[in-house]
Amino acid sequence: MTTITLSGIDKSFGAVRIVRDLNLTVADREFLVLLGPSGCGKTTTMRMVAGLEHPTLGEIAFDGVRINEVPTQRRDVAMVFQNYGLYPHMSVAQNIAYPLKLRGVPAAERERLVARAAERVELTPYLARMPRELSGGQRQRVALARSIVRKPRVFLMDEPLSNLDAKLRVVARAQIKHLAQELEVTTIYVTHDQVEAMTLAHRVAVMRDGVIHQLGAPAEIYNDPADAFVAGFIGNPAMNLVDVEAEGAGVRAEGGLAIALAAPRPGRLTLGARAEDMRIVPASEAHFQAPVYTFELLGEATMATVMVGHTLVAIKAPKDLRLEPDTRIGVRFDPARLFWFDAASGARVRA
Amino acid sequence: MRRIPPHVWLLAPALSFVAAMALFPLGYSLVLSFREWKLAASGAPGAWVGLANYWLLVSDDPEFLEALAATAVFVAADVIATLAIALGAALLIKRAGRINSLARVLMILPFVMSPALIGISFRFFLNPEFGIAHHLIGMLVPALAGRVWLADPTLAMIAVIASDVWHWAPYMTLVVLGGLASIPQETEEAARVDGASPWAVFRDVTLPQLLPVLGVVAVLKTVFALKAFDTIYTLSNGGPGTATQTLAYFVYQVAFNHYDMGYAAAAAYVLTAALLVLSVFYLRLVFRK
Ligand SMILES: Nc1ncnc2c1ncn2[C@@H]1O[C@H](COP(=O)(O)OP(=O)(O)O)[C@@H](O)[C@H]1O
Ligand SMILES: [Mg+2]
Repeated sequence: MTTITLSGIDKSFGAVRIVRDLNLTVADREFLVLLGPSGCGKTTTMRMVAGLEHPTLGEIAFDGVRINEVPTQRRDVAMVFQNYGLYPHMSVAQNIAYPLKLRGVPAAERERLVARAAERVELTPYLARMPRELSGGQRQRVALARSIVRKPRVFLMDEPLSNLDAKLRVVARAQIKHLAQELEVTTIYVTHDQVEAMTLAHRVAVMRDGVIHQLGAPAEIYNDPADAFVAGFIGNPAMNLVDVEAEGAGVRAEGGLAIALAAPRPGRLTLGARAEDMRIVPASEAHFQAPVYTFELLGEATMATVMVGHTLVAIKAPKDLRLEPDTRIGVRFDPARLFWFDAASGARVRA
Repeated sequence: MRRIPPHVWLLAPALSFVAAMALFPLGYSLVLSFREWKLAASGAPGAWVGLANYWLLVSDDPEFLEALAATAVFVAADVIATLAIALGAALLIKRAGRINSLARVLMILPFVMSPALIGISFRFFLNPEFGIAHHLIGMLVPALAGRVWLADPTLAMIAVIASDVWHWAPYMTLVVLGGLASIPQETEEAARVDGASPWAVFRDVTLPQLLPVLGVVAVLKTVFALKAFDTIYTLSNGGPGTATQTLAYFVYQVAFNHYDMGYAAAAAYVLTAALLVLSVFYLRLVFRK
């Protein structure tokens, strides 16, 4: 039952401003993902919520009560660290029990709670082991169990899946999602992986250079990106972004390729379209034509890439299509799924 | 003919050097401890006496037993004080910062000073006429004003211990700092998040992870304390009387004041045995996996 409010948060290390005027409210029981490229200040933001770092400016509040001066151990938050931060000299059971021990929970009750937390993350057979005797995935689950053994006001997770291999990551992701639904605790989850963000979050805050570029539900961020950075960061493959110059009735890409689309305003713009929102069509219906640069089989689909100006543009195509490199193809956009951005600022230009 | 592999040839000079410098004296003194050799009477070892030298040590030499007792006091106090100061100082200066890095540089000074010089300096500082420490302590602790430090058995022992702690604590502080730096910061932060007060973080997370390093410091310091000689020689000369005569000093006395080489060798071997046991212990600590 905790709402987290960050108001006007600034954080500098020496002269370097890492987080800039950040305003964010995480609703009670919400699962909020901080998403952004490495080094954008996600961990720093999360550490400020935990009290491991102190904002240079601004206020952090839980349920409207300022907690800037409350030390970490009295904030009642639980955190899964990127490298888990397990106590190497304690067994798995002792690791999980430590938060309870600190709270003076009697031994019998402690044992019951540890057993339940371990069961939830399928660690029961490993309770007697030492952390160094565990695999990466098991360590991650110990860290998870240690954070869910009590009911904290806030859960914080810092890239908890980044040290796992690809296959394990999918399983662990599902497990975290399941736990989050069950526990109903306000959660901030940090990741640079947009797939994790899209699958886990109620809302995603997309960050770059210490600034939140967009805050919204995953579908909103995917379907209605606020700017070119968000558009290019979300989606797999990333959205195609081509710099163009509005000219007459159409636009022209760098290098002179004409595209038969009406720009929302004159001047230099960035045209954005996702691979799945473009089609390969006969020349008569095409918005533009270009030779095939590469052609890839993805299994459930194929991917044709063409060069537009100096930019590679990917187009998703049916799985039975086959194209040779250098074949000239026509490409058609879905006009309803087309995005325009200001070429200089990256800001969205709406039609 | 079987060829001798090149690494044996390459190691041979170093190995023979070690053998000549360490193994020969070790073996020769063991041999001497079973013989009688009064240097004043003869230039060469005399009759074989079996275990008589050792027997005499334990059965009929109060001075040896006193030396053992003095050694126990000296080593125990020295090791405990060094450990406590090294741990405290390391925790104090472990954070980065200008003053702390300066402190780390200055710490190396006592360590590089000659132990004999340290002994002489302490002697000067404690001099009842012009010693600054003598007067300062007298001002701070009136009960000690006017007491002549090196003439009082207890105070002399404290002075000897203090000089050795002063010599070694800074170096051991650096060793503990290294140990602290190797503790993953995430473990201490995780404990804070889990609800641990600063004291609980130290007790439950920092200290347990530091124990192996503290063990190494304790064993090393015990070895160095058992061997301490120069400081004692220059500071208290084993006195007053035999109050600060540790085993190492006793061996020196027997060998080079009484010229009783066989007897000194036996006493030295008691010390060597203790050092050997500690060395094995030390190697176990350092190389265990
Ligand atoms: N304690 C610190 N001192 C100085 N710079 C730091 C410190 N912690 C983080 N930084 C810098 O702040 C920036 C953001 O770091 P971080 O929040 O860890 O990024 P992210 O988690 O998004 O990858 C990085 O450039 C990092 O080097
Ligand atoms: Mg990070």
